[in-house]
Amino acid sequence: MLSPERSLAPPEPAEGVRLSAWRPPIADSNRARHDRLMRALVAAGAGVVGLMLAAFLGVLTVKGLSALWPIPPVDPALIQAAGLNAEEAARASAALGGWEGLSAGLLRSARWAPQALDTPSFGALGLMGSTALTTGLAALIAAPLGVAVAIYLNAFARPFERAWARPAIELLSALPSVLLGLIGVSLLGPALARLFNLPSGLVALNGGLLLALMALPTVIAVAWEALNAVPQTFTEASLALGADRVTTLWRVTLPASWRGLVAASLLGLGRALGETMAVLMACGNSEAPPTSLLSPAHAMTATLALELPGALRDSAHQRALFALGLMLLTISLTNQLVARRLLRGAP
Amino acid sequence: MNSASRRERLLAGLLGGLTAALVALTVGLVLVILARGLPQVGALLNQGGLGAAALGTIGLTLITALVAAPFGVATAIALSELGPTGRLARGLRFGLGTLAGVPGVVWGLFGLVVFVQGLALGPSLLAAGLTLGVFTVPSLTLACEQALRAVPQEEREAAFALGATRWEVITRNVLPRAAPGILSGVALGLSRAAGETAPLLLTGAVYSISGPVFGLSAPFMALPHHVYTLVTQHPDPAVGEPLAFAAAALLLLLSLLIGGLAAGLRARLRLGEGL
Repeated sequence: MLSPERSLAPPEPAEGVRLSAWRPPIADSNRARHDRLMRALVAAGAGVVGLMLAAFLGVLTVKGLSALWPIPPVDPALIQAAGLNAEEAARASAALGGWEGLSAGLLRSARWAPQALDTPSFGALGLMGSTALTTGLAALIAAPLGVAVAIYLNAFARPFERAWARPAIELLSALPSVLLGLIGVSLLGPALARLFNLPSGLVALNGGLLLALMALPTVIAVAWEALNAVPQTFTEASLALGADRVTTLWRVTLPASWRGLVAASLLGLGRALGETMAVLMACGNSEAPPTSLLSPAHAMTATLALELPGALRDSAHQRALFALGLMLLTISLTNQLVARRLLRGAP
Repeated sequence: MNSASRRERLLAGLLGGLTAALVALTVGLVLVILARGLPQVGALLNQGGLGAAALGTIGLTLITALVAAPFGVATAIALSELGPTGRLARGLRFGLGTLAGVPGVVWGLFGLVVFVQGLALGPSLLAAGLTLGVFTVPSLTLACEQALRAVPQEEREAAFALGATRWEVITRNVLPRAAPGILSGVALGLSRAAGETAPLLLTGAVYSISGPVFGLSAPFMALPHHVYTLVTQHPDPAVGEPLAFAAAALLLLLSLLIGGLAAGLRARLRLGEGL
């Protein structure tokens, strides 16, 4: 039975469309029905996933932006029930509620003191500074090191070395981050404390080093791919002209692949930015913003993981945390979009 | 010429040294965790908690698989076989690719809002499993789509030419050819989910439980969370740290097992392609 809406001639293939997207009508209606049913099921599954992605973005945006909306005052009776006397409760209520929103404070103050009852403060600058410090250090280490390893694997390594290095790098990327956090607390921390004569080794430097280790597999994988994408003929032409491998690398391979190498570094940075457990366990989580690599830090991801379970639903504290989450999401998405654009322009 | 080759050797030696150091560091980290952890597994068993934490992680991984595998594979099939170049497909692929890089703790936020609070599941094994499930979907889908796309186009065309329906082509030609790649993608996604800690912190992981291990609607224990708690919150670090290494060693073995499975399947896939 031919369905009337299908013509027997294959449609004109548009650019990039595979010819097999067209098929001749199936005469057996049972098989055709089964085919339609199963395809609809699969498409429905994909639809659910699409809706989920939209819900993910929607929920986090709405929740994150709720910090911008005014917060209704808290009933002093509620606070009194928590064990404060009437005068304290009235003061706390005034401090907790009736705000114009948190947005201004979030980006203007470095004082993050959510638990202070009379003057809670939600300035995220210190947290952002902590994240920038640890992530920046990680990127500064992982980007050159990762690119160096990728260059070795692409240009110099013998086949058996590649065969060993690839699984080792996959192993590193598969290590759960909590394990690196454990290493940071029990091995790296004491070592740093001895080395720099600190009371505790749980400082920004510790977290930064761990993040570098976690960002490395990403940098290496993307950079290696970018280097491999440089046509063999480029390097052969350069070598045939009498240039040695160093000159070829410097004058031919690197200029041809720089977009991919920058993208690799950015993706590594993104990986470090989102890591939670290492900075949560190895950085000390002080409330004060970090002053140097050797002082404790309190990164954005760590703050979320540490404080959200205890934050009251719809409280100013929870709203501020969701705003932090939205910031993280925005930075991470922007970073990836830039990296993808760079990769698209690569050879 | 002579100096040029010395330059080459110098650079190769330097870069090779860095590479070797990184490989050695990785292997060293794994060995340290195993060497310090495995002798302590007995002690952790006596302290209690190990069984519940391991079972919790297995339960979480099962829920993750139940959520992520069917939806991920269906989406991969839709993207690769049904409409690979449509606008919807391109948008979906772009979204998946971007969200695959979103940090786990942000997915934890989503889980907290939607599953713990929105659907009122409370801090529970089910809420955490669902969160890990949606967290795994993007990376799993992309890996599976890649496996499906690696199936040669001629395979499909031959089956179409013999009069097969699209669904018959998918189930009888494409899926069998892509199976090792799909399984490898699923295993990789699950091993990543099993080691993830941050979303668990937001969706109800606890240090100890009194009720049944598999209470779907109750707070739960999990290996990665156990490592975290033992090393950061145990009152006596001299006791907590060895126990943390024991839990870490088990977690490492678990993820090595799943990861090794994935690698083995990929190796088979490469052999199957005759490369």
